[in-house]
Amino acid sequence: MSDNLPEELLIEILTRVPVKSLICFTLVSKSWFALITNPNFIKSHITKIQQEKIPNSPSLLLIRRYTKDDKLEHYTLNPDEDGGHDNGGNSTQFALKSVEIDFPFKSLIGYFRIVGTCNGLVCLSDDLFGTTKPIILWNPSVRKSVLSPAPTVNPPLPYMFVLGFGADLNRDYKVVRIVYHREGQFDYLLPPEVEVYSLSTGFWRRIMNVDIKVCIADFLWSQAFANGAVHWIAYHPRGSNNDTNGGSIGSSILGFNMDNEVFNEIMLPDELAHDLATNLFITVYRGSLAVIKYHRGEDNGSCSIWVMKEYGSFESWTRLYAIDLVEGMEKVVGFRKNGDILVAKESKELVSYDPRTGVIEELGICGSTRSFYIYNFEETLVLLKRQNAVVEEEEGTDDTHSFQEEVGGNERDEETSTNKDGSDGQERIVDRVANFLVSGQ
Amino acid sequence: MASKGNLTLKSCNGKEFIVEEKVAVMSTTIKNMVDVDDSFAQGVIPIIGVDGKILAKLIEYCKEHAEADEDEEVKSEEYLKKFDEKFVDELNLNDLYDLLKASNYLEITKLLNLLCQKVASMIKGKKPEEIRRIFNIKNDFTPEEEEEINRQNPWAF
Repeated sequence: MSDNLPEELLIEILTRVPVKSLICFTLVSKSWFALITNPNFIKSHITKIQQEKIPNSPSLLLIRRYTKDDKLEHYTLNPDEDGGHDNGGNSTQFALKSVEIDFPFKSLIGYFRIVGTCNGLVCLSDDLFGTTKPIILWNPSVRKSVLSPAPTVNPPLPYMFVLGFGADLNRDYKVVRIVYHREGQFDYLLPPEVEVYSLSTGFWRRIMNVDIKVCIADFLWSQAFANGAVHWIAYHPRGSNNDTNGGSIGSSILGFNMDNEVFNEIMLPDELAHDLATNLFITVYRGSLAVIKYHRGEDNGSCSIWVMKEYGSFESWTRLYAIDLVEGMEKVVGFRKNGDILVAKESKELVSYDPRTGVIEELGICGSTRSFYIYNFEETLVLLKRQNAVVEEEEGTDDTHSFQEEVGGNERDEETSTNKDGSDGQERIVDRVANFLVSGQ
Repeated sequence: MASKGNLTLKSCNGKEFIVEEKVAVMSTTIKNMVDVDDSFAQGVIPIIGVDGKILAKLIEYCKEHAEADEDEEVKSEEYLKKFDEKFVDELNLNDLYDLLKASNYLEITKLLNLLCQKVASMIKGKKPEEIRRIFNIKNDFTPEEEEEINRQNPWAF
């Protein structure tokens, strides 16, 4: 083939090539390097993955889990095959095909909270006990990460905060942080304070005059990024208008649009709105906003999965499945391409449940129920040109600061003071210190 | 002179092909020409920069797909998939390249996607030197620059 292939054609071809090969191809020539690392190419590559089915890159599930056994977070990639079941053999197959990926961070307080995922990025927060550590954006495909500066809204305790992660239309990645001041033991002051971190600027920025009349459950919150907005399950505090005027709306959804940075409230159908926010779990089902409602019975519990089929249309809320949580099934943790639902069991097993037939299949993967996070993974080049910089542990209250860890044999460039994103770089703590802290809890 | 419903396409080396209009307009470029200027539909449409061999391949592809679009019963999705596979597998590197450029110029989107996917599958997992050979590219990095790129993502190479 001649080298005068028009660039538009080369882009058409290369956007169909898997990430690892593309990184390898940056060595072909200067023009290929410039093309592949170009932010516009990286965006086109994402568009290609999301809009067309590229047979080159099989569907993958990124699974995070941990158990008390080794107290380590495990991240694995598992192929998510399209086909149906072949009863038997399949479970061992699933576990055998899982590939563990390097997880280059250490939580100081146990395990990370996975805030959310978007375009191949995983957003991590070390906030188990409500501390205000920097947020990590990690792309396992290119093994790069960026650390946000420490959040700026830090009122005197007690307060609580929730986070949301997503991208705007320009594919800038943002973390939104909502901080509620506490009044007494149970009540929050409204409205909360809000700040947004964006990857492109590298800073936290305050959002003023926010119109939020709802609260979000502390600690148990979850978020879902869909249709350009991040969403949380919310509730109307006691004594608010909705409570006193006879309207019995308890729970709803708070949304934050990543483009215009405006909050809005999305109403839930009666069956969900009348339930406690802590019984509702927000997620994304095949691109649509979805809510899972749990009912804990005396014997087996049950859950129902609701989807807002047409974003913004109240009428489009549909109950997809009602599932009896039999055989120790506890929590829905993901959805597979073949229509199966991934469920964590009390026995710490992950199972694949077919909602049409009721067949439950063990997958040979273990983790505590809370530990499971499953992402229908996308391999992208986001953060490819970032430097994995070293940062000092920001608290400096003990001996854990400024430890560095070599990750995956990666000889780090010591000239990383030229950190392009203006962030503080990446947190790395030596294993033994973090292990000490974990075991010393 | 083509009969009604047919168009005459002429390659850059003078070969003429009479094809059904529905086959020819799989190319958005030809469709636009015919739509804008009626005389193209009557006379001969010159296909600039595409030789007879490549034009014949293009027509072979468009014919199958135009017929399938018209009647799904005769040519099922399964049949087309097999046809596509065979079509790209039989191409050598030079033909692949010429077809890529031609289908890009003639805006035959389906074929362009098929060919790009073929090249992508062909090159994935290959080493930089193999890529340079395939695309006839000269390595313009100094050893120091190569080392620097290697160091940024050592696990990938």
